[in-house]
Amino acid sequence: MHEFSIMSQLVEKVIEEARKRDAKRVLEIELDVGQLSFLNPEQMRFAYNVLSKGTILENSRLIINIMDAHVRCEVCGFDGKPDYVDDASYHVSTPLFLCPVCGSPVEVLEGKGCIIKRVRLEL
Amino acid sequence: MPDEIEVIVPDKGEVFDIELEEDLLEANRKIAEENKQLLEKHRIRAIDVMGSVGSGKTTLIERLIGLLKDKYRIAVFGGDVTTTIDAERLKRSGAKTLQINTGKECHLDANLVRKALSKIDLNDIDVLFIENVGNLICPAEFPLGTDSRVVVISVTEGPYTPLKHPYIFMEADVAVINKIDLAGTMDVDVDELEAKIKKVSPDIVVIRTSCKTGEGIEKVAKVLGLL
Repeated sequence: MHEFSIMSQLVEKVIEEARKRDAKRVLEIELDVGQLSFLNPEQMRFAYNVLSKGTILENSRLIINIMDAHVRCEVCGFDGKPDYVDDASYHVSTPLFLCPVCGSPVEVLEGKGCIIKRVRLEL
Repeated sequence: MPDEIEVIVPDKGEVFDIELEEDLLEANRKIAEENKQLLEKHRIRAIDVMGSVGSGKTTLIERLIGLLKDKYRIAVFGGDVTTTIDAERLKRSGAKTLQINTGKECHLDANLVRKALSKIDLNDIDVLFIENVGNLICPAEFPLGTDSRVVVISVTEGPYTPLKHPYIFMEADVAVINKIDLAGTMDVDVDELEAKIKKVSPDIVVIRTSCKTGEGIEKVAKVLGLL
């Protein structure tokens, strides 16, 4: 639901960076979106297409990489992906924040961000 | 005289990549941190109250104001897409209220809260409740800079809310299961509901309330460190 506001921040930021470098066009943007963020790639693309119209971003390519979550258990030292509840009736899998090894609460290290990794510019 | 350093720059028409590593969600987190510092400086305890439409967020805040208004000077920010219905209600309960209408957004963000903070006298407040927009998805992603985050659900939403919306429980410190007076009628097993919340968010404190009868309200105030 808030994909539009995030994407409008993205478009503003990229235009600012492109201006700094006196770029003619933006060709490609690569985003790393954490699996635990609440952003839906399809809605992000839709917002991006609308927001980039009439700017130097128009017709550029948006690459969205979905990044795995990464958790750590302070109790047993487990370091890796969280467990998911895969109940077919929910249609999507739900992450569990309990250690897959010992069952203690885990700390989330990665998977919540929405990071602009790379912007390809034409000068 | 130092040697002249050769600088390589791309030519016109050339294509090149820049690496930014900029987190778009970080901007909100930074403002939230500034809000937190501002609130700490004025010794204000701030609580973000989240939950779906009709779960009982406004009624819970009204009840807490009723319980605490002789002890603290209380203010409330009411977040909604439009209308001032909730703010009017809360004003009658005796707290200073300020309505934040998001217009189109589905959540409050730290910047809207910063604006609201600039409109009130911070030296005149001990406790601030921020009622978020009724929504179980988006508010979770936007911390506001409060000390605690509370998520309110009610038994009338059925038994699956925690599993359908795990993220909001992950981000909250306290979960309130409201309308327990209706659990029998709704045929909802409250123990099972609590177990589901604990499954998706092991560290959360769960409190059962009926904002209608007043049951559990003192417990909520205690957990928030207000009693």
